[in-house]
Amino acid sequence: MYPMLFWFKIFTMGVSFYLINDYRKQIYFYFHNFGLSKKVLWIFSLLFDLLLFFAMMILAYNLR
Amino acid sequence: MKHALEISSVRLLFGERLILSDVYLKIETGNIVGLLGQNGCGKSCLMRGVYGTLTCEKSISIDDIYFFDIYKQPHLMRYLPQHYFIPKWLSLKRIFHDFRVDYTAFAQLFPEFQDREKAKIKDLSGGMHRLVELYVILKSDTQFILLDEPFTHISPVYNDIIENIILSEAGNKGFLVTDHMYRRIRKICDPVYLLSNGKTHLVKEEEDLRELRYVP
Repeated sequence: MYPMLFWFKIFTMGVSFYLINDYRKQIYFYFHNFGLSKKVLWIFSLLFDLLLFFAMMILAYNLR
Repeated sequence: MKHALEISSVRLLFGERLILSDVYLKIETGNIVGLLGQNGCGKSCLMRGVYGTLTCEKSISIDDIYFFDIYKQPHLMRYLPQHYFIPKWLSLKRIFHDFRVDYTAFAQLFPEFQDREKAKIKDLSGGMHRLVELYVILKSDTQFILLDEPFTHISPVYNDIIENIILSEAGNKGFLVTDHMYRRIRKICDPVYLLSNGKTHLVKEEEDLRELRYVP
């Protein structure tokens, strides 16, 4: 179950990336005005999201 | 101390279509440079190329120091895009805090914003949204500002206030302004260029705009 959840998480991250780049790309300019590139924004967001996911997975495993 | 932004050797192709080929602009702090052009001539592409968010061939320098992605230096340049860019979920208080701009002074100039510091930008009308975006960019601490159609969506009664803000901020900043309200651009900007067929042409009189087929 956990490997399936992990790959589903990767899939949803890809969907988020596509949707934001397609429908919300104008918002990038807010962050560009503070010197932040798309690369930096995505690296930090996805890394934080993935770490949170792993933390929840570990918590769920310990609570089972 | 004056600073000089030089934009040269800009070349942009979309497929086989040459959008920009021979662009030269020099903007100094204390100057407001106007850029006119027909729809689709490449004004926004030029600004985004200069800013670094659109990949193209270019040579951008400030005081002879060359930059490729100048947007990564917000103390050197800020950009107001043509479209709305502030995330809708942010409050006015947060936006003014992020840009380090005084909200009280803004509310004094535009009284309908008084006591609305906690309002989210999505609760504002389109014109009020645009006014906030324009004001925070104009007042932010930077050397050069690119304004892409700043007067769009703004009520005529506020255009004079915006003009005065641009003129007062131009004391220590350099501006590149593009808009279709060409008489207003010619009023506040000097020099004014027309972007046509990928090249910049200096405009001295309204007759030049007729010759270049920008006005009938």
